Amino acid sequence: CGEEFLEITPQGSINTESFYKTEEEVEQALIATYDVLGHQKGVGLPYAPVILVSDILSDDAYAGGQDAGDGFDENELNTFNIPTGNQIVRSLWKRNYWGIYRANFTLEKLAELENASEAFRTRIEAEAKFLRAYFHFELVSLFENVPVMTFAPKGIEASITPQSTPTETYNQIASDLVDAIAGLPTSVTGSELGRATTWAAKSLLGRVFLFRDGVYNQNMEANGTTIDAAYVLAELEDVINNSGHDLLPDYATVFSNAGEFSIESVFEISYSDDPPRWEWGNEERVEGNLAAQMMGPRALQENTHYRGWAFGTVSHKLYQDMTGDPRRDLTVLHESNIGGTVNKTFQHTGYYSNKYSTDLESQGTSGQLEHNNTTNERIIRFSDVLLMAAELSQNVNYINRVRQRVGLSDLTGYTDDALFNERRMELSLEGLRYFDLMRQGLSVAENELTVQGIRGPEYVDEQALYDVTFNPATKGFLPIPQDEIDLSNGVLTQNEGY
Amino acid sequence: QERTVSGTVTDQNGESLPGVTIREVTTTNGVITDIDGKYILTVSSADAVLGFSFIGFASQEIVVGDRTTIDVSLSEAVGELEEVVVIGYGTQKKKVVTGAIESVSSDEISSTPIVRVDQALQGRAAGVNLTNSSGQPGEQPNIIIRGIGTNGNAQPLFLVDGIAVQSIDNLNPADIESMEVLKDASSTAIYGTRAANGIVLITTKKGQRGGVNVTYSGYKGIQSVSKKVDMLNAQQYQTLMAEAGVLNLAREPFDPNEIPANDTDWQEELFTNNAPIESHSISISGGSEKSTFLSSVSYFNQEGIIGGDKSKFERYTARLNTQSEVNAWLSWGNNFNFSNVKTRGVNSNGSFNGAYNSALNMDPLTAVFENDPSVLTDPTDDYAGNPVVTDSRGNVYAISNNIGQEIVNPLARLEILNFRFNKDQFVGNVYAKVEPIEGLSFKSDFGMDLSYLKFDDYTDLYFLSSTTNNLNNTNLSKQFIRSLTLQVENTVSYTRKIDDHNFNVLLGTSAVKNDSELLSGFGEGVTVTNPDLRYLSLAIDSLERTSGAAWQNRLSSVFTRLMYDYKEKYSATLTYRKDGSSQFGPNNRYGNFMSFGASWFISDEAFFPQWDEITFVKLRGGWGVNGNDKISPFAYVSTIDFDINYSFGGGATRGAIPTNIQNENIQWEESQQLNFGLDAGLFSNRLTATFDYYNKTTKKLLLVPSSIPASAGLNPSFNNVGEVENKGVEMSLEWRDRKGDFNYSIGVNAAYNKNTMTQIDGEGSFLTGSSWALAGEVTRTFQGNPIYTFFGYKTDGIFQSQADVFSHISSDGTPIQPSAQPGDIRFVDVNGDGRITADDRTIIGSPNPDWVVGSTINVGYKNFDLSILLNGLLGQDIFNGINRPDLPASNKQSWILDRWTESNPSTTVPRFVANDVNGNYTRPTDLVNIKDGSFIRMKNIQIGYNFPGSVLERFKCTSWRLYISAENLFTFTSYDGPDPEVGARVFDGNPVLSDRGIDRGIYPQARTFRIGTSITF
Repeated sequence: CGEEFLEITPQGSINTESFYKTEEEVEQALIATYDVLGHQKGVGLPYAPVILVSDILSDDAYAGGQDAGDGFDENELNTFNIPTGNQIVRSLWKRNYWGIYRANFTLEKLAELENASEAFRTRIEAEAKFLRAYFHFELVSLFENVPVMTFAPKGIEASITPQSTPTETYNQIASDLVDAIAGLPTSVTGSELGRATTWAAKSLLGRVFLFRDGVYNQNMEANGTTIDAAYVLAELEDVINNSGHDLLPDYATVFSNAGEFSIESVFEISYSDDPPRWEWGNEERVEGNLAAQMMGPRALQENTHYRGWAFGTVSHKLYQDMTGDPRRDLTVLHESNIGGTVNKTFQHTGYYSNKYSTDLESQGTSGQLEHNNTTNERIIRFSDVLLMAAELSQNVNYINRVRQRVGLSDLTGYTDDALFNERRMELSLEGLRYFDLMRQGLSVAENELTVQGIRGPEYVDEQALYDVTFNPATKGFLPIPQDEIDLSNGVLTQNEGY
Repeated sequence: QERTVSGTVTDQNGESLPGVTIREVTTTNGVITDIDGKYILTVSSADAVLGFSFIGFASQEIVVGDRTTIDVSLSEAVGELEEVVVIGYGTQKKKVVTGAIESVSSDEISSTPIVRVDQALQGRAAGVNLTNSSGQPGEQPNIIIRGIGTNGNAQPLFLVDGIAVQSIDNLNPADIESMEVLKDASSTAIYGTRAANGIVLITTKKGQRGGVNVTYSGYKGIQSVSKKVDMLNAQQYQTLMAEAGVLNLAREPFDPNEIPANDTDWQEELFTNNAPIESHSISISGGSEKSTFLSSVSYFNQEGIIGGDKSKFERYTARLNTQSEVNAWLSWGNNFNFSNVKTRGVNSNGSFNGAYNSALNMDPLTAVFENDPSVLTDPTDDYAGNPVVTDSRGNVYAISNNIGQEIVNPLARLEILNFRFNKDQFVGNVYAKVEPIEGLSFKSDFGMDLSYLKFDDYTDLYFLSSTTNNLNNTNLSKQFIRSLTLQVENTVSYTRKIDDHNFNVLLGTSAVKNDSELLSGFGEGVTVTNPDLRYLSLAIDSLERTSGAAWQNRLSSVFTRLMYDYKEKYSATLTYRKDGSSQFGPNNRYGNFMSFGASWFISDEAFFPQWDEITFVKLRGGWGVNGNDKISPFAYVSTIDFDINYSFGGGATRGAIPTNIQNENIQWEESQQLNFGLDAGLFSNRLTATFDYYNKTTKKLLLVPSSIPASAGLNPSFNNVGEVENKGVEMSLEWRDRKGDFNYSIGVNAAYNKNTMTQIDGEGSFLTGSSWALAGEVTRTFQGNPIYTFFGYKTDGIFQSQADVFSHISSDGTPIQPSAQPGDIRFVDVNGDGRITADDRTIIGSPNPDWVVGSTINVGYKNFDLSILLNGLLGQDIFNGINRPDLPASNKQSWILDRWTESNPSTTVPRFVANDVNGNYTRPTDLVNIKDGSFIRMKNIQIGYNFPGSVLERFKCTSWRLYISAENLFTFTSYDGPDPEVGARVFDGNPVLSDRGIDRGIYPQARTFRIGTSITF
């Protein structure tokens, strides 16, 4: 037989080298990057929705799960006894590096693309950089010492990259966001809802800066420009004044279906039952919101809620702290408000999240029940933008705007305490609390996160299971996943405290 | 006209042989020699041919002619050296074979109730480690020849009548004439890139000249479990859980004083007693002077000891083999086999949805059924309003109040399984052979393997527990795969004898192409729930999905071989093959393979001492290179994954990203092997012995790394990752003798192998293995150690006191396990950092046996025969992972009763507490999980009776045998799990090597009792 007998090419699949030759095809690489936003786990690893994990780390929620085994890995995080081999930690790490890879891959394919319009280039590049910054920020805020990746490695060896200093990482994030701000559109509508806007990038820059400033007390640098408080405040005020975003009139609407992609959403991660999914095992391909499924109560009858898994049971501390605030019952779901019977589970507190849950409105219409929850994640809300601006400007009016919406009286003067209290009332169970504590300093964090002897009336398990001691030696960061250290052959090094 | 012939049959020393069968060939006419070796037989004519046959002796055929007295001297096993063995693309006299080849005969293949012919290798062939993946009918076994030389697929290449086949479960064992296992590189190199893991040549039976024979053989049997695991009963369970502070699902403690309402032995409930197995095969064979045929049909059915017909294997086969001599120089033939295989299966070794795993972990307090109407209708309980699972009589399977997650009522779990597999397969070849002059032959062989595979599944609504349920919608899925392999081979062979020099030259070309296509469909909302009426047209919801895929590969080869011998005393074999394979990219498409082998029949030398005790001695040696290309097609290219979606405001938007990392430079695994062997016969060949030593190095191992740095951003693809070495010795000894009516043989084979991963390429220092429950990886490969050793925490006993805890200190004097309590495990701080972390995990055992052993014993007395087959593995460990330690309320093996308490300072069983902070049971350890897995098993014992001539005469048959047999009657082992034969799980037709020896509650081998017969007319 001649050579041609062996010359066969894959049928039924398309070779990467012959793809990404048109604008539409390169845009598909960008869509794949957005897709990772919706991944709530790393491929082949356990579920790790960052909203749930960070709330479990915080004083607002416990591990939960059906029993101690179900919530085993979560409880290691909850109690800060985090072995370096914890697979949730690795899952968080992997999700974000996959996102970064795809962003870089998009940028590289865009650069190779001939015959693309300038407008297309500008926008795709800006979106890819926005997403790259988003994933890097999630990494640096969880792990601190992470490799910055600005290229799509070809192969395993090329992917092994030493850790950058936090300064390098924050500067890269700032540079990407400043570039994104310049190139992103000012509005998206219809089938583009959910794609990044310049307002989303400005607001994200605010969040990044506040964390950088709070934890390190340092500015950032973007392509030679210093990103300081004034720079960021100007960007946030631009969002407040010019974006068209505003608060919804009714707080209760924010987390209902009507609140999705609303005027209040500056950036949102989209979940849906389209296309519906059935299979277990590749849940990163699922379009539904696993965090909502995980945090939902184990309701036996589907009167108000369908069956969730009761992870991240909400603490009595949060319930108590929100006493008197009109937002409490919209934030914390008390078991008495769930129709029918609720299975008591590990670390049963009687409280669940009311923001991300298995309420019937969010149930998918097709596919495996657990994989098709349609609740979007409100990543940056306009109220958060107001509170960030308040924090930077020390202008109490921004806080009052948030308070007025829920019918609370105005505060007369700005204090950090009032600001952080307002953030807790407004933004609890949205995955921000833990980072808000970290940026207030380790002593504040230790004080709040170490919870001993606090017990709610509906708590079921022994007290010891609700006691948590923060480990300040880690500065609140997670361990670099042991497997990643091993796979890097020691190029990666472990964080302090582990 | 008829005439009477008489005579005496003796052995070569002149001693008379009683019991020799003498048959007029092609007729049913026959007789057996008497105690003095004498016989008298009336034959039909002077043309009659007498066939003399006797166990342990070479058969002879003699034309009667004018003679009335025919005395015959049968020669003993030296004749064995005259036998011809099948080698690649030909045959060779055993005396001049240079390689290491094991033969398994048709009698051996049909003596045990095997589903697949490869299972006949177990215990019989030295150096072949055949471990069943589980006891599930039809599950592909793990076959490892001479140690693991790959990280990927270590299965040998099977060739049936010269056609490379992907699976052999389509063959009727009764159709097989012989199986030859080619072990060393000098004999396998002729198969080049597919040969590195050994070759199994399967030859099917052909018709014989003269007359027509009809043979029926069949058996029926019953199977049961041979051993159950000793688990806690209800009272013990309740007491232990209460003591440990474990909570039930309602988050309440267990009450140790309550009288348990139920005491369910879930294993008793799960196992099917007397599961049926049966096999029937009829063959008609015969032929004329010019042409022979064999035609057969068979039926085989086996139900499992778990799940009955939910775990079964059923097969029909039909075969037609013909051979014709068209004229003096042209012959033509074919071998055709059609088969239909239907299987159903349960998860045979799973932590999360294993059928047996649930039974072992389920609490004994829960009843099998919940019959109480008040419970069933209680709206606050699990039953009301949920699609609970019932048995065929409508009894509701109980749901545990004590344990959840995937541990559910095992009978209910079986009830919801609807998976079915069906395969229609045609394998055949047609060949023509031309011999224009003596010694020269051209052969063209056209082969094909066409299979249609159908996978059928249906998911009903069910509620097994609050985590294991399907409440949304029914769905069904179907998949069809059509796979067609075509093979064309042309060979030229020239044989010449010049004085005492014998030559054979072979030249050949081979081309193989495989094309496969998958079509699958999925639908929701099924209107009919009858399991036999599930078609996609009955899934009526608007949402339907179809999908497809295609694979191809091509192999194009040229090869040559030179065989030479001088007086059959010195012989040599040289082979060369060049393979081109589409499995690899243009950079590494072609591979060259060669080998050299030689043998020396040293006892034919004049200088060799002429001792009576030594009948013969032969030395062999060989070296060769071959390869392994068993990876998925197109691994060298990167393709696009379009199953990527993100829902923007307008709904799903499709993305596209490479499926995996591109590695265009992947190439063959290359194996080099050196072999030295010795064959000897002693005491007139009553004792025969074979010894082999080999050293095999495999480079450029092909593997999809299961774990790569996340920053690579994509799934891994195949990579050449390192080098492994296997060194070992093999020996087989057989003693056979007879005394009058009594004859017997005892054979023993044993193989020792040492496996070392000598090099791991790339950045990582280890290869990731398989995981267990929630504990993560429990096997890994480290350089300098065997492939896939068990990986976990080393222990150093159990803390007996608080003082003990504080004396376990690091180099700077601080306690290593400060929060440990008496009764907790003392872990070894392997890396010496003063703490116990994941970094302290190390090698804690090995699933690789030191010795693979087997023994066959055959005894014949008059018309009775007895045979025994033993097999065993020695020196390997098993990872006992049948318990789900992450679920404290899971039931436990009863050794936990010996747990450490203050009054029972146990040193081997740590304390058991709900809040296992120390990780006594959740961390994989050498103390709790690693067990000695050595075993010797009586695989088969069979007693048969051959009806005497008088009976045969009456029923007009030529032979008739009845037998009873038992399989897996005894197993000698210290392992406390259900079955020490713990193979790797099979994924995509490929046993996952890293999974070997991990027992997650493996579906055990059945103990079988059978009665069978075989009768020839």
